[in-house]
Amino acid sequence: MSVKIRLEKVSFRYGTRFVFQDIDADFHDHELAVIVGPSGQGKSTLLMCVNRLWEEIPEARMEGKVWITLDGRLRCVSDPSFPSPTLRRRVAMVFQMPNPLPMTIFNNVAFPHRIMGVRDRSTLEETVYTALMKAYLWDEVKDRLYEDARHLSGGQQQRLCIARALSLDPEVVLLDEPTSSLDEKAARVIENLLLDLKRQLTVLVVSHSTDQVRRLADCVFRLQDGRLFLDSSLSDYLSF
Amino acid sequence: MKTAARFFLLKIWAAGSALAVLSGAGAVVGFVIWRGAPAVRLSLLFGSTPPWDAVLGRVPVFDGLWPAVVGTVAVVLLAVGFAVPMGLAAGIYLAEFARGRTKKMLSVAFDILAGIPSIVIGLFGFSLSLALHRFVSVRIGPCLVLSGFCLGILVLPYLIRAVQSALEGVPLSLRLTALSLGAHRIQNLWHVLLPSSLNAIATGVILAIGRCAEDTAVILLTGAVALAGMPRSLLENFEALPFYIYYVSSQYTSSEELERGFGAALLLLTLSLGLYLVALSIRRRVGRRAFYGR
Repeated sequence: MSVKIRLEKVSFRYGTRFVFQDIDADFHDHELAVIVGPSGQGKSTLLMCVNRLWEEIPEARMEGKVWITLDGRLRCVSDPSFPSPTLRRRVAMVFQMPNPLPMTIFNNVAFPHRIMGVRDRSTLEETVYTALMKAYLWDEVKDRLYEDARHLSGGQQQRLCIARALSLDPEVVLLDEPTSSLDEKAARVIENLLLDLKRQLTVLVVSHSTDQVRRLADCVFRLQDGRLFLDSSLSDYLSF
Repeated sequence: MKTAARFFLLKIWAAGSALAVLSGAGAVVGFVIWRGAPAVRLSLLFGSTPPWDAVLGRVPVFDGLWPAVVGTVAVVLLAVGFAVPMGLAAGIYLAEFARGRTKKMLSVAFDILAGIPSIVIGLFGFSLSLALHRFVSVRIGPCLVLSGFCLGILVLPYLIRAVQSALEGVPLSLRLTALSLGAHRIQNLWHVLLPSSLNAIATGVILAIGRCAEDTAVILLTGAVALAGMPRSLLENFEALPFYIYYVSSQYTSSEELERGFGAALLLLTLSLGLYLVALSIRRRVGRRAFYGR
């Protein structure tokens, strides 16, 4: 499998506090990689290094390089000359808590397209339909597209956020404990969705649940004491 | 038990304070209504001029408060029209772009500005009018636009702080949402941060309107006079309700005149309420459009 994301000597600090240092790692195409490790070790931060969302957080500093294969060649996306909006459209992110924007379901999914200048109604409708289908949400919301998205259940909100992220046709999806705020049933729906997704793209998931790791992971990375290890004990998870 | 008793005392104290504020405000409003209501007739506003002729400006009003009402509304609109765009921009700058020492220094500067007594701002406006009179044009003196400008300066720091704290209060998760979807920072500001802090910003604007409507010290020195008639131009003197109230309360000669003063106070309260309701409905409409529009 070819390399999709390469981290090269990536270090990160908030102010003077180092979170992790000199991380090297490769993530491959069509692979679902799970990042595990104790809380507060910077797993979410590591995801934000990939789409450069850390730049929006005051006092945060990243050093090192992040490479991503885009249009067939490895490009240094951590370089400031690479436009971050372009990067974030191709590397989508889903957060721990569902974060629908305070607008309708339809507008939530249409939002990233509208800010790119798409105005044509039928194009937007098509985009919203496709994205909601991909996230297994269409049937549940097709009659209430113009209701406030915040009235959906937690699991539906999270799938809406996934739909919104997928609507941009990204090549990489980063998910930060996407099921931790959901009940078992809603979590399983999202896990199945993720297994589907990895056939088309590269998926990085932060997770705390051993069960989830066992069900999802192609490979497991452990972030601990400021270092990232490829967890050789994947078999441990499998043998549970 | 001891903790429970302490908690009970705290609750009593908190509830009592809230009640005291409420009843204080209620007493003032009640008193103004009690004393002012008898004076509220059409003649309080228009004197002996036919109301429609006065409203349309066909006949000047000499013995009514209509010119003062119009003057107050005009000076408030001018002040808010000047202060809101500037306060919004400066608040956005402080919350979203200023960092480190610049931010600290600006914050201190705005806090100092907020602490300046309004009479000093009035004096500043007066000096400004003298300077303009001398160096720009002899036509310029204390006038409507100068009062609006100075009232704007008076409320500017509150507006800036309201906008800043509203924007800084947007939770990080919401702040990052649009950015993670490929929005530029300006798009994030326009489509997410401003709409979601609209309520808090609008509250700041409403408070600013109230402050502009009631302040006397600033307009006293920058253009308000007892008798000017309807404001004809931005560069002329004008009448205003708070100035009239101040004037009557300090120099009334008969009980009827005092009664008219209370009537004017009641008018000012009603006017503030009206402006408040207008701001409220704008807030509601803009808020809905910001999120559900298109």
